[in-house]
Amino acid sequence: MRSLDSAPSNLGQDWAVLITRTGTPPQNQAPTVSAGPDRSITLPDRASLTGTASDDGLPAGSTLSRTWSRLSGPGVVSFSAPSAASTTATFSAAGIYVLRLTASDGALSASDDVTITVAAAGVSFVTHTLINADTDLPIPGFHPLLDDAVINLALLPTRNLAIRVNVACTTGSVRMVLSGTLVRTQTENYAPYALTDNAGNFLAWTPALGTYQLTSTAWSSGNGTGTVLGVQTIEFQVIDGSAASGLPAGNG
Amino acid sequence: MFDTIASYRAKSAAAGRKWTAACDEPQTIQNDMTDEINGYPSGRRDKMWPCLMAGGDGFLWYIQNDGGGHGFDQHIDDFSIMRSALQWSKHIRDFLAPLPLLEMISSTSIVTSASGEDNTLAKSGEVYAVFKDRVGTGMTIDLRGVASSLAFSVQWFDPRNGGAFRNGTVMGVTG
Repeated sequence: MRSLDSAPSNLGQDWAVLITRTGTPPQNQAPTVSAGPDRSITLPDRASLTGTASDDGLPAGSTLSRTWSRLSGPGVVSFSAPSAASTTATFSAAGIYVLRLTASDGALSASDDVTITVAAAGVSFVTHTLINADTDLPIPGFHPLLDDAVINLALLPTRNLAIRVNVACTTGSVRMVLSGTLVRTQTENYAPYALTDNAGNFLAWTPALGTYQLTSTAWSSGNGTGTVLGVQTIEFQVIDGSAASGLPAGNG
Repeated sequence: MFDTIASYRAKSAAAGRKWTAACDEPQTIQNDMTDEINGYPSGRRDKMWPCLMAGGDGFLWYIQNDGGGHGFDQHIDDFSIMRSALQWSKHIRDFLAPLPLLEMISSTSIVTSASGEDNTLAKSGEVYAVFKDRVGTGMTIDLRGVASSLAFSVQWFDPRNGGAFRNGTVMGVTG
């Protein structure tokens, strides 16, 4: 409701009022949608989806609808609340699923996708280890390399590093997706599975300072095919010098 | 008057055969030109404006003089006795003619106030023409379904004397 001021004069008499929109009406824009970050789970866990959707309120009087759907994936996906931005997804089989959150204001719609990597239950697991590329041995304190680890180059025995992915022997291949300060995707069919190696010999890599996210997925067959046996995502930070950040070296 | 015209239009439309509805000869001209705040219902305030605001397709004044019977309007040779009514007719035409009438919907609930009738012709989100038979205070307009970011101008028009619009204001969203 908006209130109107009083007539200029002659209260009690009859008046006519013209109320006219001024300016150019805003044009309807499509909703803004985010399906949330990609993630990995291991069966029988369910994936908690934290999507968001917003709109400009146009067309006037419209309501924003939200719908989750399965775009691709090997099994059936059920959503606890398919019409809510935040919901929980249950998967019938392991594999890579692309789920889509679509929002519509009745006239325009928009969507965003999220990839959920679903690992089979109890078949395998994935861990990471920081390797001394000079000796090809794990660096103490980083075996395993845990989530939120801080790697202080100044405190390591070498700056020639590699990251090894530890998986079960039944693994056919490992796909590593590095993001953050360095973006790199690599699929390896033979052990040792590492971000930097050549036929088993770890190649020296001195990571640039910064923050990284690494997701490693173990597959039953080569070249990232078959079923997902396990997956792990870790985030780690690379610093140089204990005074630089004040953070202790080693896993956080 | 508003309800009568609106009822004919709504019911005929619902029946699948839209009628036009006009008001003809509502009262004798002398009574219709009486314009006292609490006096005899005036032709301008309680008949002509409500009729046209309800979507009536016409309004016809009745010349007959009180006491003169039909003999009067058949022998009238001085139409100046209805000067006021004719001027009011021009004023309402000035007000309504620029409006997109074919796209507007009649209502008595979009604009409300503490007293009197509020007749509205509305093209939602674009323009609202309101006739208020007795202006008081506390008029509000219901803009549900209209984006709150839209701004509106308010202009007052004097149905009695016509003339230029006078600027008013929308006080703001109150709920």
